[in-house]
This record gives sequence, C-alpha cells and structure tokens, in this order.
Amino acid sequence: MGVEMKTIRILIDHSIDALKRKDALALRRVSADALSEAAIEGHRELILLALVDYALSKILSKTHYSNLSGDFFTTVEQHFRDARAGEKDDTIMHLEQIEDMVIKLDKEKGNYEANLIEKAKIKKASKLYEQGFSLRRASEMTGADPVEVLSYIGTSKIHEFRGHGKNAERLRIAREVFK
Amino acid sequence: MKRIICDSSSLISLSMNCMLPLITELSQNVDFIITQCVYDEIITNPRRGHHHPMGPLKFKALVDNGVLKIGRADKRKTEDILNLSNSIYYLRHKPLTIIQRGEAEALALAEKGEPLLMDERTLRLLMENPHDLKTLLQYRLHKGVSMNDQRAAMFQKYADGVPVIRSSELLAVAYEKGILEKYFSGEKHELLHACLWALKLRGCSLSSEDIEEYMQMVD
Repeated sequence: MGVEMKTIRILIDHSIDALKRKDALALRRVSADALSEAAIEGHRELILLALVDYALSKILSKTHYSNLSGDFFTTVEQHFRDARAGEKDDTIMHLEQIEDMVIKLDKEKGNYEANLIEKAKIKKASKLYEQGFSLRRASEMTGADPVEVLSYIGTSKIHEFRGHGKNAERLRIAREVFK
Repeated sequence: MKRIICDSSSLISLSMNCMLPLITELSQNVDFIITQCVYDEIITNPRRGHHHPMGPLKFKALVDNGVLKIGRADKRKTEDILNLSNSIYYLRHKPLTIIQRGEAEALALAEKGEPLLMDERTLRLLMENPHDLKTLLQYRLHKGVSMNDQRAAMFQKYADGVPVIRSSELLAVAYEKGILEKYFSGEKHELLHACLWALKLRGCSLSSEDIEEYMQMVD
C-alpha cells in the first residue's frame, strides 16, 4: 500500500468517527488535515475528502439541516467505508458520490445560490492561497472559481504578508510606464 | 508602444470594482497585453458558469475594442519558467507545485523592462524575494520547507528586469492623472482611499499598512 493511500485511509477513518459522533469541529479538523496533505501530494482524493468533510461539518452545524433523516448520514458513512476499502479510483468515485449527495441536499434545502460544495471549494482554495500557493494553483486544485476566491481572500487579513515592501518602487515604475 | 502584461487577478479586481474604464483610458499610450491563458480565464471559462455573467462580457468588449491585446508567449520559455518555479521549494523531499501555466506564460511573455500587472501574491513574491515566499510557506504549512537556491537563481534570470505592479499602482497613476474623477465622484483623498480599499477587498494583495503608505506617496 502506498504511503498516500495509507494516509487517506487514516483520514477517512477519522471522518467516519467524527460523523458518527456528529462532531462538526472534528470533521473540520480532518478537512484541514486532508488539505494540508493535498498541498504536498496533490492527489484528487485528498482534495475531495477536504471538500466533503468541510461541507458535512456545515450540514451538522446549520439549523436548517437539523431535521435531516438518519438515512443521509448512514449512506454517507457507507460511501466513506467503501472509499476506504477501495483503491484510488474507487476512493475517488465514492467521495464524489458523497459530493453529489451534498449538492443534491443543498439544492433541496439550501438557502443560497452557491451550494455547500462550491463554498467548500472557495474556502479551501483560500486556505491554499494563504499557505503560499498561487491563486491559479489554489483554484485549479480545488475547482474553485478564482473570482469567488479573490473576493473571499480580500475580506480576510490572514492573507496579508508585507514581506519586504517595494511599494514606492512599484509606484515609480508605474508612473514611468504611463508618463 | 510600451507594453504591460496583465494577469487575470488584476483584471478581475478592477472589473469587480467597475474600474475597467481606467484601463481604457490608460491604454491610449500603453498596450495592455494578455496571454491566451488569461483570455480563457476571464472570458472563455466564466461564460460556462453562471455566477459572474457580466465579467466575461466586459472583458470581451475590451478585447474587441483593442484595449486588451492578446500576445503569444514562447512555449519553451513558459515550460522552463514553470518547471523551475515548481522545483524551488521542497517539503518532505517533494517539490511543491506553487504556480500554474498561466503565471508562467505571463512572465514568459514579458520582455525586460516590461511590467507584469499582477494582484496575486505568489509569483510576485517568487520574483521579488523567494526567501520571503519560503518563509510564508513554512509559516503557513507549519512544516519545514527547503529551498533549492540553484534553481531559484536560474528562475531569477527570467524574473530579472521584469517588475511587478498591482492594480493599486494603476489606480494611483489614474488618480494622479485625474482619470479617477471622471468615473467616481468624491473628495480626492476620500476617493483614493475608497478605491484602494475596494481593490483590497476584491483580492488585491494590499495590506491596510500598504494603503496608508499609498495615501502618503500619491500626489
């Protein structure tokens, strides 16, 4: 078993555990861990896991999903187990099934135009950008819309990194170009 | 005619703040060039989605009117830049892929002395101070990141002589030329401050300290 699949299976185990306990915070932690691994390894299954765990954490914490039937979570848990048991392609397929379930649920019960998975993509892309990956890289890895990511990161202070300021030089160059 | 190579990040920031007319005005004496990759990002791809339907229409008009011109980057140079950029930083002995083809293409298209208009932070840091980017990666990933100085030096040969400016600098120049007042009404100081904050809130990598610095520097 490759190191990557072992890591994914451990993360899926944590996801199942968090889901059974209906622990939204734990799911967000697993999502963050999956993204952290994805930043290094770049595997699609890690990104998918980060997205679905984040979206599931939101479902658990939002009041308008509070009367959701147990079947939803039972089916999600089964997909997690199947994802864990399979090889790479099966893992991706089952995580994508969870993704589809979330999108369908959000279409029926969600309050916003952007569904939970789209919001998860923006959030995770923003995190990757914060970590130092380019906007394009972050958006492509997660499938997020770069316009949405830019809008999101613009409102956050955590992306600010002044480094060695060159503002005066930049302004001088701009003046020179447009004189 | 002088040229400025535009990344989609700056164009999007300007578009989201209804500031694209500034480009039209400033394009009287300078060519604003985009790569095919940027064209796809701001026009082709968003047209398939439904969240920001106006953006691609505005950009297409700029292309059709000759305000934004499409340039072709050398493929080999693009590949070199891409490969070098994505083999400078390492984590767990694996290279970190930090930029995509679009960024590499923009840099490949820029000749010495031609600025890159780019609001996103990563390529700018890589070009201006790769050690700062290493610090950022290390700090945010909470893991040890190593840097291949030799490859960083090889990359720097492409970056040398290509300055990076942001939409904020474009805005400052437009302000100094009196262009801003043609499109937005307000007391001068208030106008500049509001516009800088608007760019920041739409993703231009400006800190609040940067904004205060600009307020002091601009005439």
